[in-house]
Amino acid sequence: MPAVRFMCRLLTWLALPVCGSASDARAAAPLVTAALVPAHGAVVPGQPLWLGVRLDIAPGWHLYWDNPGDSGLPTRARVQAPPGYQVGAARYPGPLRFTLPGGVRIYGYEHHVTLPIEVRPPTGLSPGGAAAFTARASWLACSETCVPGKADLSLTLPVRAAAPPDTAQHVQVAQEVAQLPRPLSALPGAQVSRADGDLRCRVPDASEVEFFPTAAAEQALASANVARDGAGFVVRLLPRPGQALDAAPGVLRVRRGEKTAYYQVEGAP
Amino acid sequence: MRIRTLTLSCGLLLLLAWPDATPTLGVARAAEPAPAELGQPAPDFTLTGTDGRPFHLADLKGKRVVLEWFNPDCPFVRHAHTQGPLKDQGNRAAQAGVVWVAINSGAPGKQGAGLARSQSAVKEYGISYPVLIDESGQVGRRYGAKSTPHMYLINEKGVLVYRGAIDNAPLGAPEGGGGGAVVNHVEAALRDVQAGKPVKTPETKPYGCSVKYGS
Repeated sequence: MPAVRFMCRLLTWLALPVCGSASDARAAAPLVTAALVPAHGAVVPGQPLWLGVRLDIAPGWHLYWDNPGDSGLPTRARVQAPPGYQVGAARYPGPLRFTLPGGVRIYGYEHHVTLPIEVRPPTGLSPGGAAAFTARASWLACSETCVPGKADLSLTLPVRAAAPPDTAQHVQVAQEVAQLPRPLSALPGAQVSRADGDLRCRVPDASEVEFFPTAAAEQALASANVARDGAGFVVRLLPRPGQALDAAPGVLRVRRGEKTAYYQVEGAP
Repeated sequence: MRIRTLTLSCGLLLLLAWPDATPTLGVARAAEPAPAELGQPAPDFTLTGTDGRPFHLADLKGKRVVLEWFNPDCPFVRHAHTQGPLKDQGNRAAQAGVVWVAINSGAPGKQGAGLARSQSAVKEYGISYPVLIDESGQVGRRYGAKSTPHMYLINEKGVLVYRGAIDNAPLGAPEGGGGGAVVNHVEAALRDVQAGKPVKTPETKPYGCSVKYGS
């Protein structure tokens, strides 16, 4: 019986119109399940706290990065905190590139994505009581077709002098935060230079490098060329005539051995 | 007679499709047709519309032409045609003398593709202009149409002067949130062209569903 269920699921993934009950179940299951999850189990006065908007994506579907690419719509998340809290903008994990028929290039996520948002408690907050947060997430889920979605989420955390031990869920959010694109200067040996209006990034010792432009940079770019350079790569960003690249034109996905990490390209001085 | 004509055109098609096979004729290798570029003459094409009539771009010199990439079952197209700008913008422009056409480049079997669905969509959305069927995706690829709705404006001289989004408000929500103003890029470009001015914003980032090309 489990084997039959597995086969049905497999065939459903292959989008074959068989196994009525399995496809019905898939149609009924949400394409995206959203949750607001903290990196720690309490608000601690004086300490910033990351909240993650976690989106679980049905198999075969994808959501979009901050720059969706040729089509799609960015995934968005906003947090509202009690008065006095400072709330940062949603941060985006490094995306994957998908190429659809007709050369349509899109940037996004499969399986799941967490958009972390940093909140800073007000100065002078003292332990006791609770803090209630709400979040609004919106997205476009696509496979062969596209379905827009949104969710209103909420989370109440106690305010304590020290956080309780982290759960696995908390640890996972902290890991997602740690995997956000870091400044390219954090990659030993990486160099950024500007010459004749173009921007060059040298990435040493990498087996694979991919560049993802921001939406603004994509409009300004004539070409983004990634070429091997000895043991590493050179990424050359050439703006269109009369256009200039801003200070942070995109992120690099750098693969070294088994490890993949994302770095924020920053303009050279 | 009819068969002879067919055979002849098939032969011609073969020659065109396999230029390498005809070196002895001294025919230069047919280059890939040039893709659409802003500020350049818009590539010519002929497609048949949902009304059964052929549409030939080159016949429309002297007119402003708007191309609207279309997939009636894409939520962005549905929103634009039921609650958003395309509910009446195309119909109004067509009444004002603009040649406005939608193009469906969806491959057979893909979402929203084909003549029958396009015809029913014309009724469903109350579209007064033709929807052209481009199931091979040839015209879509040549114009670099990536999403629905992806919009193009061609001026009276046949030059491509705008490409991008219809507006800055996917599904009615202006980008950046916070209740910013809706800017209709196609309307603005049409105004510039009408006033004889260069289009101030000739290119924006399109949004929407990917065009459902065949592989």
